[in-house]
Amino acid sequence: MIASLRTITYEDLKGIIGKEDGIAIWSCDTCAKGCHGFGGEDSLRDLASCLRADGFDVRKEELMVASCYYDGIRSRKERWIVAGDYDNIDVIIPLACQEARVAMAELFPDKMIIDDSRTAGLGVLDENGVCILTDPFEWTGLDASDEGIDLPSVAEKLGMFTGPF
Amino acid sequence: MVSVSRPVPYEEIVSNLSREERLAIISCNACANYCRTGGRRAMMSMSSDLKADGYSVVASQVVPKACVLSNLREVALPDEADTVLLMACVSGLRAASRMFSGRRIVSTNVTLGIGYYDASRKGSVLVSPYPGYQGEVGKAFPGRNDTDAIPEGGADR
Repeated sequence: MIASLRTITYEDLKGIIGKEDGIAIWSCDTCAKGCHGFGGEDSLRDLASCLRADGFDVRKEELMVASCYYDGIRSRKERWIVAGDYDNIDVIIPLACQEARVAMAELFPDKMIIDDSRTAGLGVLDENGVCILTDPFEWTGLDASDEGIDLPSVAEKLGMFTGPF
Repeated sequence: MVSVSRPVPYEEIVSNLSREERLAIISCNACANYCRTGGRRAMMSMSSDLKADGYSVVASQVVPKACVLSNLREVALPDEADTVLLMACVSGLRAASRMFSGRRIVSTNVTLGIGYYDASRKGSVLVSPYPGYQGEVGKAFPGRNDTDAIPEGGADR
């Protein structure tokens, strides 16, 4: 599974988006969920609730089983178009890996896709349902191992974050 | 979740096996299935080829996700199996190394990196490569040379 880290805080996020923006939150329910709940339904609902409470205009909440499935993203886009919602969305906040974000950027070229995650490498989902990084990318400076490294330790070393906003 | 993999050439795989070994094939039905390096069809093909070449395949099983330890814990590995032939990415290999520590594990795949699955390109597109595979970024695996349109379970995602 993909080991994803969050690169910005909630305060950072609020500084990037505007209160006049139509916002969609897009959450992945597979790897990103296993990364200490960065994705998944709870983080989606919680972020939407917090942003609305802070005066932001969250218009869409999308939960997708696997957001790295290009045709699945395209299918959701088509649903937005059919429903007449597409033009009302300015910003997409992905609670997903950076590879999903690349796919979203191709399919939503006219939307601002928030750059909020970085993939540290591949890992395994342990007995507690939490991702352990076993095969980091070279840029992390970490070594590969069967035992792996827990994501909070990885995040601390790299100056990033784990879990939901 | 799409780790992008391609198969080790069959001749190279069998060069690491002996005909006296009793093999158990475990095949991942997630990312590797999208790359046709795992899943039921690739597993049946591997099993059939090995048997035809005189190798002893004593078990074969598909797991939903080989990188999930609880999925591997449910595998009924026969006591007689000496070697696990793993059709999965490097994450599955790590998980199998933890779970089947007393057995020899042979991987049938090379993991190129991470990407997304695009059915219209008939494969998984590499976005973030591991060292040595930067030149493969943007390519789909297995890509259009394969005749199958959508792998098993593809429509569910």
